[in-house]
Amino acid sequence: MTDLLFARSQMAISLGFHIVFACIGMTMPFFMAIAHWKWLKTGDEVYLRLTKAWSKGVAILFATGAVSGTLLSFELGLLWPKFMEHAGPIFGMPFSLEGTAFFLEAIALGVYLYGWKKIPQYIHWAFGVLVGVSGILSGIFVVAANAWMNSPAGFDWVNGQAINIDPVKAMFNDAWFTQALHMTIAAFAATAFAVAGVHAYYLKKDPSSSIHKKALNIVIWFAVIAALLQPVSGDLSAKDIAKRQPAKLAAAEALFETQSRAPLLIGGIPNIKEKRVDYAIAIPGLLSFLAHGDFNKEVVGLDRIPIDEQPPIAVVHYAFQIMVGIGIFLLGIALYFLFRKFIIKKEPFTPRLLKLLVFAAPMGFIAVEAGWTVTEVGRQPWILYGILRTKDSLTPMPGLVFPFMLTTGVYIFLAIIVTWLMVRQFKSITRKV
Amino acid sequence: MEWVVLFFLATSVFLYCLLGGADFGVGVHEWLVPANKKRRHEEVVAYAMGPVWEANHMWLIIVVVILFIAFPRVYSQVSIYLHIPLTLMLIGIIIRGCAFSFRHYDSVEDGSRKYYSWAFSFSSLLTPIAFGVIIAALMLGKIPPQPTDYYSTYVQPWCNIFSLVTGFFVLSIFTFIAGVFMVGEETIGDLRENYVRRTKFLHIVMIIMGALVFFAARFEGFDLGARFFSHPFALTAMALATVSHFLLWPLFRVSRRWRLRLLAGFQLFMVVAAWLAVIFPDVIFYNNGTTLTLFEHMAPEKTLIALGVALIVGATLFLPLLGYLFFMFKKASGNLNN
Repeated sequence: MTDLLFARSQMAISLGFHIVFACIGMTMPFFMAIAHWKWLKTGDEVYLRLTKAWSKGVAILFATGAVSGTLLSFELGLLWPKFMEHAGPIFGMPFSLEGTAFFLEAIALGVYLYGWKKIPQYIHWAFGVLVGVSGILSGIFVVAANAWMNSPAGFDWVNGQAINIDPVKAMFNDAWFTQALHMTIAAFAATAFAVAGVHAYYLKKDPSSSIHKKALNIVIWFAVIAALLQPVSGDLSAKDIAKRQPAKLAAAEALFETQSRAPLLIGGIPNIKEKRVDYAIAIPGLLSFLAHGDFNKEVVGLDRIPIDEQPPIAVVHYAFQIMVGIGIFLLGIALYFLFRKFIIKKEPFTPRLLKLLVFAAPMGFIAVEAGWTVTEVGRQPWILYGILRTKDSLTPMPGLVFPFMLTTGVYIFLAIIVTWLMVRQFKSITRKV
Repeated sequence: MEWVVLFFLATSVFLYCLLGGADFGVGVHEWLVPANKKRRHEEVVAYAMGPVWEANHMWLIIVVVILFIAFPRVYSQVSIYLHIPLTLMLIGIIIRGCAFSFRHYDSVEDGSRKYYSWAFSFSSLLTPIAFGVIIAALMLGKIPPQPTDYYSTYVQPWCNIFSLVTGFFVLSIFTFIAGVFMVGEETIGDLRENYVRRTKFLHIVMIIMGALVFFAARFEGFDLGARFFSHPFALTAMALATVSHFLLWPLFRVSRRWRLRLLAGFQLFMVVAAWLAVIFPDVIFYNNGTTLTLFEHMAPEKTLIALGVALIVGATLFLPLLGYLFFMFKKASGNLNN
């Protein structure tokens, strides 16, 4: 492997690790705040226990997210110093706002975790909400910065230098809204399904457990609503990418030839040499419709993209298929739940639904990872789309295999410990019931 | 607007040294506390530091964000040449951040506590030393202006006596600051006696380490003394810090704990201010005698305005809340000992 590939892998692992904790830090405080609200309103001790259990989870996961985020803010420079030298002053604005939001989140979390019985209870609760709100805001800001890499704006690129820099325009680039929306909903979906899966597992083991039932009744709504909204936001993203980054869409769909009435492929193995996709189910015209809202419109294929500007096709294609497939699966669970609850008006948490939820627990996060793979790998070979190549922004330091191995080792180790801690956490809630 | 940004940069550096430093220091104390008082020490740390734990480390994020937005050349050059010590510092930050919260929030208490503690106290050594090494390497003037061979570009600039001694000097400062803090938290009992004795000892260690830094600089052919003594502000600041050392010991009484903290904070402030004054506006000293200043390749005015406004607005939002977090808690709960 080359230094470039090691650097990209290190970045991928760091981002892939951080995003899980970032998602949880953005959304789980809301679950916690709702349980807390119910405790304040009903005085039911079970809600208090649930709130405390969830807030402990938030504390552990937030700490992990905070330090992995700190690492990322350095890694951008350690691995891509030439990119940062140009980009810092342009896309720094969302980062400075993110810093503020993240600071607020850390303070609010400190007040919340240590505020039990020390501060008025509704103020205490409000700090719990503030944790979530500032978490969401910091997520949106960071995604806006990433969106700028996909959709550069707010500067003119003249002779390899950025001039006429306008950081506000850079922040509100064309991609920020669709990307931030898609990510925020994804964070809710992934976290809610993961939490629901865990509680479903314990509820299946002990159907009389009221804490797990109450927990499920809170998170299932986040899961269902997010799963219903995500396809809509995904459609907005697809249309946006079709316009701005045709290479990314062509790679995601493995569309080798530019064509009107372009088919949507389900599954399939891209055959790069022969420029075709084997064993795929093709739905004629659907890709044209999804990309441009018209079954007959032309969709740009890889043949129109110079070979040295094409992203790795297979990776992007598989990742895209995984993301969309999981999105549809989660939507199915949501519809099943709604069907039982409102159409036939029966207990929605059947053993079958519980089983499905357990199975779905990691799915949202897998989709998040796949989605980021589409975004990031799909932008290659550019670090700043159409302007600066990833390879040209790499640090001159050789031997990047060592930092790669070191960070990977630390992350694998941490992932194991955090998982083990969470298992202990959930076991201990059950034991107390 | 660059002065607003620089003010926030310098303030954040100082606050990170003070608050983050105290955080690191309490981890170092875990090596020094006698085994039978260790558990109590951990409780005091969790009580005193827990609420502000995450917030203390945000100052570093502010520093980094200001650097890459406003002074991108500085950020990228530091990242290139000091890749190795920066990575070590970050590994330390990750491990101790996790270990601390794992230890605090793990729902089961068993043998794992020992490992969290070990990881926490070990990484508490690593990060401050790496931090000091980085600061020293920037000043020393061994960084080549263009990358050459691996050793002289990526290793030699920081792997030398001066940088290592500075690393240990920073470690001793942080440990001393943490000691001062702990003395104020634990107001009665054996552990307090232990803190007081050790903090006095650390005070002496810190002064000796400070002197050693100047000798180590000499050893590397770098006249640090001349730079400090020829700079009127730095000289005054160092003189004030030195004089104030004599006032410190009488303050090791419960009733004077806030005066003790203020004085130690003042000393740290003087040291940081003197250091910043000596190097300003240079950040990197290259081995050919040239320097990289903050103002070279500074971000354009529009970016600085956006950043300055974001910092001012941000600070008006988070400072009151941070104040609430720091002081209301102490007030509401009283002292740990009551």
